[in-house]
Amino acid sequence: MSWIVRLQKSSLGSKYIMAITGAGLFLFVIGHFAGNLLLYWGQDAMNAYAVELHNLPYGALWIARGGLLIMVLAHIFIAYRLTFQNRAARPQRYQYEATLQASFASRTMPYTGTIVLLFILFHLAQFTFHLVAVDPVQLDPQGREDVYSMVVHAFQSPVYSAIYVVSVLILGFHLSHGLSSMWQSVGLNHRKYNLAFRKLSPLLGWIVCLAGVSLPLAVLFGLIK
Amino acid sequence: MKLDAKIPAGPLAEKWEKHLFESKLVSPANRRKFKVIVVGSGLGGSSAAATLGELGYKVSCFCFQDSPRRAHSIAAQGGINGAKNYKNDGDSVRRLFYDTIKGGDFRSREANVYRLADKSRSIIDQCVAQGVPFAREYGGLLDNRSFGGAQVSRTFYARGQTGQQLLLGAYSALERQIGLGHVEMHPRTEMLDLVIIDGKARGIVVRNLITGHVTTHMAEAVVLATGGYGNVFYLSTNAKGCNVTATHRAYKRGAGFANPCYTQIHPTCIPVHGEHQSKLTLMSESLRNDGRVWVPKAKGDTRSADKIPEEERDYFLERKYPSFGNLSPRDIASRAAKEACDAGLGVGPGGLGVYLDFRDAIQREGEDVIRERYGNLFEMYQRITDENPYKGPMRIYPAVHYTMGGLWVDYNLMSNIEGLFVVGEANFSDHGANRLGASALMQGLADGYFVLPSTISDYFAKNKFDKVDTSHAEVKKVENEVNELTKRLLSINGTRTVDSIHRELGKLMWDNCGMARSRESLTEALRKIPEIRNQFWTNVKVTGTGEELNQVLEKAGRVADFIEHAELMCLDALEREESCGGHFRVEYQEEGEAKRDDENFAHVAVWEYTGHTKKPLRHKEELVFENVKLSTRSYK
Amino acid sequence: MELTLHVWRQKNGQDSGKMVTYKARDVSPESSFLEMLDQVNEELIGKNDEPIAFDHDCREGICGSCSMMINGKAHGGRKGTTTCQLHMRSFKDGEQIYIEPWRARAFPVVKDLVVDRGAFDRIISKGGFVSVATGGVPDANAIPISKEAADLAMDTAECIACGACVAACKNASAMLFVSAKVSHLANLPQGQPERLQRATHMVEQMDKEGFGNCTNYFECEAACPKQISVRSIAVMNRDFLKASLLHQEPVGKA
Repeated sequence: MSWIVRLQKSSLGSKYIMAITGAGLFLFVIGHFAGNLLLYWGQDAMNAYAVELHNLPYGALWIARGGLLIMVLAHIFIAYRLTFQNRAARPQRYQYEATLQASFASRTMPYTGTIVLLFILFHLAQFTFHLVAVDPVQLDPQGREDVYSMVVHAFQSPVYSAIYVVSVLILGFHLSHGLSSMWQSVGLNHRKYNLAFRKLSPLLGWIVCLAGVSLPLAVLFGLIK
Repeated sequence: MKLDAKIPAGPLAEKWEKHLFESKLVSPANRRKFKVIVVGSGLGGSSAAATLGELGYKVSCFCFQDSPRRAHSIAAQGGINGAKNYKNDGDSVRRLFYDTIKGGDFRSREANVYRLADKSRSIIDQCVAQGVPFAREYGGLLDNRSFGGAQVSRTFYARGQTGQQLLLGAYSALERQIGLGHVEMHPRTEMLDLVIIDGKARGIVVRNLITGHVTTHMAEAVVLATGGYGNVFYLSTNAKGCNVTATHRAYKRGAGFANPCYTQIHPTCIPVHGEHQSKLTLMSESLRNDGRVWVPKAKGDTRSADKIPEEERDYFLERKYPSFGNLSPRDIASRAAKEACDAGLGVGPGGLGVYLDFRDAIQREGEDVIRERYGNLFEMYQRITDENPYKGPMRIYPAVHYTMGGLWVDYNLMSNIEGLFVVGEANFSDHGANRLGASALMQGLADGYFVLPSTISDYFAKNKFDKVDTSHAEVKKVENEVNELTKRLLSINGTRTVDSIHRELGKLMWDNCGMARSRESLTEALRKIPEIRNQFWTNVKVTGTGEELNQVLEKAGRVADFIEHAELMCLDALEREESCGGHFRVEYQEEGEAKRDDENFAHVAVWEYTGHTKKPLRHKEELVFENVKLSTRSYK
Repeated sequence: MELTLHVWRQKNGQDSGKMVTYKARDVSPESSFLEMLDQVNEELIGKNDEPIAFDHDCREGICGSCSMMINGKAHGGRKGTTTCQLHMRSFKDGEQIYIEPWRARAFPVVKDLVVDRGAFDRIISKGGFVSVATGGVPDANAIPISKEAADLAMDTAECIACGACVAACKNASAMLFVSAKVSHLANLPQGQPERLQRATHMVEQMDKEGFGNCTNYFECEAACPKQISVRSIAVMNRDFLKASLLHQEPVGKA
């Protein structure tokens, strides 16, 4: 096992972990947003989905949650370690700084990542642990937890909606670099496929994030009640 | 001075094999007892240091650059000759040998040149095995192109960066030995003197360029691979750091300096742009494969090149030398360009330039093919001149490029000082009075990979070495002299910068000892050089101290040596009363072509130092030609 | 032309250093950037000041010695151009120019604009070679190599080890330099036997030297005077991954 320890410590090993966990987390985001889009199908669809999710066989939900947690922690841990190492690699900065082609998104990954992390903590506190900014959970007419109303109610507040819209857009921005860069990290760079790697991947990221952003906006503008 | 070339007896083609067999060997287990110092890390130095390390000797390698990979071999563009006959165009070792002897205007040693031509094949094999990405044909086999002075295609190349790729191959072999602990590398360390104990070269005094510390390194043999002295001329295609210091100081310790007047002026360089210019940039000779050299037929024709009709252009190389045309050897092409400019036909600012035109090649082959062949050179030209060579012709002018002269060595590459070996451009041995294109890389690598490692073992096996260390009185004496010199340079505190004096020296040498030399010009130079020397030693300004990185001090030491060396060059040029190769004495010519005097000058002139400002002694090593017939070199 | 230069001056590795302002007068637009500095230095020496120390040698863009951050851009940021080949015609009369040394922990400043790039040599000494000794190699044409492979190898073999990639990278990462060598040899049959160890050993040494990590800014690619593509980094990522997951040290028989 020592080789795994060595691998994760190495600069390239760190890249692989960032790329792979990043890809995993993006898949989760797709799943999560896809589920949430059920808001457009109304209270019954949404709440039924929540129940089914909880009743997945073989404790699949917990396995998924465990995997997710590991990926999140690894992604965060390596990201901060990389950031500190990278700062240390240039102890003295240039007096005159300029950039030739590095994108704004790539240069701000530690910041956008941190904002996304803070947002996730808020999001969990709000909708998962019901600690802040949410009314006690009610039951729907079928006796299920009324996830639908909880979310819709929360999004009716312009402040919370704004937090969600801005945060998910920042996530999109974070993904715009992450999704194009992860291929390179694991060694996939080929003239024939770089269009897919570098342009279509981030585009997919934006589509997913815009779909997510549409929910609070839809509530705010009364499309979902 | 005893000059025994030690050329083995026997037929030309068998000399080296026979010599190898008769050489003594050092057994693998004993090799680590011998330490070798290699000064310089270009093709000769890197390949020698790496190979000696592989064999098991203890090696210390020194270079003044911050990494061995930056030695100026890296700038060689066009290619390396190899008598592989892959093109089936009649090439052979014998033909490469003959081309090189003839190219050198019959002023080099047959035996050395034959060995070089023979080893040329192994070099290509070795480099390919190291991963040098030579150009390939679509079938996967190696591609070749032609170079000046040859009618066959035997030049292997890696785009326009052949020297770089070969050096990086040798450098990677060297780094491998460094990683294994067989070679100790000392970058940013400059050799300032040679230590001779009991008649044998036993060490060198060096200055650490970062700390300024002067120390001595001891060894059983010293190899100088320190390149040529083209920077005597200030403006040359050499790197700014190239210098004569190592070989000149060895000369002052008793090593014979051979043929210092043989300098090569390369025909295709970008013309000078102004007074602040610090160096000249070469455009590879390979461009003459497709480029045509011309000037307008009419004096003072100020029309742009595309406005000058075909019949008003003089393709002077094709006209004068129909069988070799634009691929005439360098000395001949340079002189022809100079003649055209002297006749007032030159183009560009100051009339110091001729056209190198790709119009016809682009029409014939298409721009893409030309781009594929020379793209990086065209880009370089455009970057420097801001002109697009795909649209109009390049302007070129000759510039100092290479020095065929160097420390005298025998067949074993050992100088007249025992244990002092000299390889590559630093020695004099293989190119005679003119070097053919793509042969310098070949010589550096032949010396370093194949010749020196064999001959040095013979030297070790045949000699006893007393144990000496840096406490030896001779070491202290030489160290003191080095320190004194540094102190003296720092104490002059005059008004002139080192560069301004170097420029003055360079201009004098270019005007008086450049492409054309005469008794008058050389006598004048010999009168003026002592004035420059005096100016230097009384009025130069060296800022800073000796205990730090001090680039002015480094330069000052080198220029001091250039001044002394310039005198030696002029002296040699004056006493060689003939024209041969790059040495063109205006008094000795026939219909504008160089006229050799084989009766009186078919020898190597070897100069012995006799003391500061004293006239050195001229010795001769007669050249014996048993296998080629001395003839007038004709490329017509 | 007349220019105002702001130049990093630092006596030695221990000194803290500072920016100092100089005027460059009578500069010809045909001069190279280094010739402009030569001129400033001549003037400084005339005033008994210490000239600005900078690394330079071939002045034709191939030795890789010159190394300056010019207005925040390695070698001045002109495509495919080293400092020595940068000409003053790319600047405007009266311009302010900031000149700083490469900045990286792995490239300590030696003096003024001179840095120590020994880390690059140490990385090469760990694996940037094919382990063949002199002699005993096959004929050069014994192994055909497709033109495509030779060209690909050459694309990255052109690296001059100037360090612009490290200087330009926001993380001071040496990935482009290291991968250029890995990729050069990975494209050739001669490089195959040691391919995986090479990537492993070179990356290990790179990490030891204290370079930063690659975060795929691709700033190196834009700064590289030899225009080496970040595709080479992908090749190295692939080789290192394969080596990490699959390569095993030989252990003999079971």
